[in-house]
Amino acid sequence: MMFDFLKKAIDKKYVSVNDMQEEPEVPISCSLKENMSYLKAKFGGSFDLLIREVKIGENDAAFIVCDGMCNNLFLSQSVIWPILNSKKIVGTPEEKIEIIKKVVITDIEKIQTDSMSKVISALTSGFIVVMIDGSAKVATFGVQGYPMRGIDEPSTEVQERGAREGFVENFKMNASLVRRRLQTPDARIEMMQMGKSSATRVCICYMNDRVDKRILSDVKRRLNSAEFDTVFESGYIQPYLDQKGLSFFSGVGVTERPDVFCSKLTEGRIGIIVDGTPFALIVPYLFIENFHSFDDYANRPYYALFIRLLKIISFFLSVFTPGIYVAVATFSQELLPKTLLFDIISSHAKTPFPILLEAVIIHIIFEVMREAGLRLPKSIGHAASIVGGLVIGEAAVSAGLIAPPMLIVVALTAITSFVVPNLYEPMAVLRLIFIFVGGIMGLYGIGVICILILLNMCRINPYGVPFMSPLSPFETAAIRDTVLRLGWKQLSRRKMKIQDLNGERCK
Amino acid sequence: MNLNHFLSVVVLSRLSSLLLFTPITGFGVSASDRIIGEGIATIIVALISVPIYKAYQKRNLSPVSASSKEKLLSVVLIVYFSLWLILGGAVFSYFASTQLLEGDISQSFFILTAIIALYGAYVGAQALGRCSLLLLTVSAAGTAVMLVLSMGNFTQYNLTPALQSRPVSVAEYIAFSVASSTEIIAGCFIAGKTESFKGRNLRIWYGLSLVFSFVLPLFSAGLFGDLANELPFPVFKITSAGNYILFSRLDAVFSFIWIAAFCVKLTLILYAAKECLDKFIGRNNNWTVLFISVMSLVLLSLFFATRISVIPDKIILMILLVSFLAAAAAIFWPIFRRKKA
Repeated sequence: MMFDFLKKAIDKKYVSVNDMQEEPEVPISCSLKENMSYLKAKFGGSFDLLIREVKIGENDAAFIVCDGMCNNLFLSQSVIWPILNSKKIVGTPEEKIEIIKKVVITDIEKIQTDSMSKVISALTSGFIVVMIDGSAKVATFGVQGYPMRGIDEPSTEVQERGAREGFVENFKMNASLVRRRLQTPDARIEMMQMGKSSATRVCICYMNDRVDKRILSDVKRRLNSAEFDTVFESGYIQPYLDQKGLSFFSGVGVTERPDVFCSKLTEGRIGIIVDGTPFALIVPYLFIENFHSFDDYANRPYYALFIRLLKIISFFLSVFTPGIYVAVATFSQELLPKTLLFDIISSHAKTPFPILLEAVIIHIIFEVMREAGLRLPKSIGHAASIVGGLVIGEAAVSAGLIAPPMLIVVALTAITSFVVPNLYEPMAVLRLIFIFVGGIMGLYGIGVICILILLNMCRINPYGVPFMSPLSPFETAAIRDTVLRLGWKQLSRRKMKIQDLNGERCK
Repeated sequence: MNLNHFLSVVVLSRLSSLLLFTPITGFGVSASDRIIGEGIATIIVALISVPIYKAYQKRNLSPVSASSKEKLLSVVLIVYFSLWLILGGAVFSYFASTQLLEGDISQSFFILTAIIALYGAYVGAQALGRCSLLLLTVSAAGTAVMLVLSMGNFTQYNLTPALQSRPVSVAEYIAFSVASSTEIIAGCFIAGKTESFKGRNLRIWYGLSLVFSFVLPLFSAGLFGDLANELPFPVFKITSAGNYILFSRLDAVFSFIWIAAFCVKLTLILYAAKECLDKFIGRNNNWTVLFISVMSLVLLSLFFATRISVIPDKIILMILLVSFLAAAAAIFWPIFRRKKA
């Protein structure tokens, strides 16, 4: 590509995370003092590294834990007390460790730790490490109890019907929400770690009896190839799962709802849960699914059809109305009926700005207000909405800065954009692009840019399932759940999988 | 590639010829030239292209290969596509400046269309096919609506006398239309990647193309009568005759059909040209070269936009026919070369 030389120049400047010097694996020493010195040096002056030196029999031992990551009551009752009061811990230090693991504490999660890096990883994950002087083996028990948010209704995906449960920041809790809904061994939840510093747990979820193994291995390959120092949000890994190249739309779905997540898994898709964020990812994802909601499947089919049509119309209104208004008012006034034309022209004749500039200014002001409303503390949110309504609505029109028809267009655009929240990002930007193009080249410019956007959307095909399916390629069987939603009696007769939507049989 | 996608690309390319090859080039001056000529040309295009596509698809052929002898074929094809780009671009630019936008902005509009077509060529045949299916659906629906809204002004008496053409002018129009059916040549570049051709799909899609070819010129004649012979783009002007409740002069809305059709045709040609360029140069991804070449041709076509009616129509026809026949020979070569092997 013609810009390859630029890309190479930029890539040279940055050092890849994987190029950073890898530390060699340090084995666990038999000397307790050496191990403790190593950990203290590694953690530096961190106050939350707690080391309790005790005696188990006649051997020196230590309990090491990260304060704040563990449940203190559980830790003392289930780990420390049984170990210190057990009479069964006898023998050499290695034998003592084995007895602790297999006899004294049997009902708590254990993991294998055979190097100091794994010990550190276990400590930072909320495990307690038990070391005995003279043994190169350690015992590691899961006593996680860090503070976390309770399960609550998701704020971004509000439904009339459906569960009031949403994903939380803890991946284990999220995995349990999935497991509760898919009580079958075919529902697989595989774990991996991403991020050199954050060691974030990422779970890959799928239904083994219906997933496309090719897509699954592609997802794993992409995640393994991702280089991160930290992963704090699923949005970090989303580009790795998406189609390469620029696009306004994403072939990766995001959801906060476990019921939506599980229903997508049953269609043969793959879900990714990231520790630390309630937003799970789903691949592959289709454009038409942005207009679907869980309520559609709980409501009657005719109402589901009505709501989906409403959402599609709202999307087009939100994206195109401002641009078409500017284009028609500037270039194609002959389209409008006489009375409407006179009203629009007379309103805009009083304003100092050209229609294009007016549209751009007011949309930018709207976006500023929306962003401010999102970040404002609730206590002063009221003041902001009053200022916005009065300043923009009343004062600007009275002062003759903005024409009333433009205000109506912005209001319509604003309301319709919130009907399809999944697509807010592309809608906000596309709207501005269409305003510019409409103001410069009229409806013809808008038409040409539409073709460009459509080509870009048709290009998205990250896992062999085209983003525009089942519209293009057209799949007759899948049309039963696109805009139209057939009743459950028809839907449950034939189970469609996502990989069935690849309408192209390429050589 | 899905067969329906491939055929939608072909049909949209054919549709754009209804707009582009109009009286300013000196062909299709009378309405009956266009009605009869376009219908026959569509049938001839179908008869030529379908067997070629089938041969390419069955044997998984590509029109160009890397051998040194066949690099010459790449050159022939590039010349054909370049000539069409200059001529077709000139007509489209003239169309944009007289019917769509006034002043320099129409030239910018054409340049923007060319850049988008380049992007379409970059995203590949599959994306183009999927996009074409959607655009054709919208175009077909839009055309139907346009005809319904204009029905009130249609007068069957405008169609009489039915035949005003001389056989020579019809034959010239047919030759011109067939020679500028670049989808016969460019379609071979994606036919080899398409799933097997089914008779039912072919009949549906080519039937649709035939309907467009007959109905639209017929409608323009029925609406405008003798005036259709004077209008530079009589088929496009159908849109200005329609009205809906309070809204009239809907040509600004329906122009999307023609812009979409031209864009798809241009994208297909640029995709094919890029394949030829890659084979000629001997390495892939020559986007910079293609971009510079296309922009140069676009500037040439802008130059010819206001001068096209000055060029004698016989010369235009000769140049197009010779280049088309050479390109057709280049397309037939891989089929017969394989047969010998």
